Amino acid sequence: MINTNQFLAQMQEVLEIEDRTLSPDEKFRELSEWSSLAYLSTIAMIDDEYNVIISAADFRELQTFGDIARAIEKRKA
Amino acid sequence: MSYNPMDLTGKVILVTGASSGIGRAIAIECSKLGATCILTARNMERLHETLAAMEGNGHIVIATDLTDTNAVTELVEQLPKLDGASLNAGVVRTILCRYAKIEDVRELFNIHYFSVVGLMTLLLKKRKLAQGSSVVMMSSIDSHLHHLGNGFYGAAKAALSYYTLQLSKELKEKRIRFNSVRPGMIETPMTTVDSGEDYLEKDKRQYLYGRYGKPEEVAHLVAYLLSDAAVWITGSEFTIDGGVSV
Repeated sequence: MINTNQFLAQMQEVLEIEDRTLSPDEKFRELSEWSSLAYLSTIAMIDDEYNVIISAADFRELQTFGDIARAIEKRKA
Repeated sequence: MSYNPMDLTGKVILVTGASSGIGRAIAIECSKLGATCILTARNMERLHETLAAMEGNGHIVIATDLTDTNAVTELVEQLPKLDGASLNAGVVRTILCRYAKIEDVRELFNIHYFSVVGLMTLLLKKRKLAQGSSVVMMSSIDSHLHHLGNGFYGAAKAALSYYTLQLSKELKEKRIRFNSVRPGMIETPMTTVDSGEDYLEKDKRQYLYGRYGKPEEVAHLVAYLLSDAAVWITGSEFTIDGGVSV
């Protein structure tokens, strides 16, 4: 099991959000901090921290931070 | 007899990265212009697919991993005297500075720079390049235009471009010409995978004609540089990018 709170904290760091915490239900593409750099950073962070690669095609299907966490979970299993 | 200053009849040309994309298109184009080609890449099966699409006889396929020094030595030993070489072996890898792993950066430089240097050194030492031959390096617009995540790829290509200049001066007495080609985004298996989200669609709109290039479009330029029509061209870099850098 990956630690959801830890993952959200990692996403917060990727997105450089300091003034609030993220929730699993939040749709990341709706955030003003989301960008192509944020996308590449997310993929790189997940590779770095979890040793998991999510393809662009698979990532496109994900909507919320929780979806990303579950995608990592699935690939680690 | 028809007039064709780009005729390659009688020329023997080495094409690396010939198993797909731009390298494959160059091999096919050179064969149509009359050249005999020696094709190399790692994957023998896909090299044969290229071969099947070529015209004329006498082409040779040799499977080689250009990052393997021993394999390159073996390759060069098998080569006849060359009138041209088109070096295209390459991969792309998106690496951000913040998450860069030195081994990934090193791998990019191995493929795009060190393996070319290793191959060229042997070709020169073993005198495999004929007087008046032409070498065309496949660089990229990324060598001078930065695209997010492709900085290390661009740096390796910039190193390759510089190496091309070095070669052109050092080999001037032998009249061996060295040029590099810098394509923008070309629709190939290498570039169209995994660039993320709707990035590709947005990116295409930056090109003046709203589309990416085709491998054949780059192959025409390379074939020209390999031909005697380009005899006064050396030490130059050619951008072919559908106007994206305008």
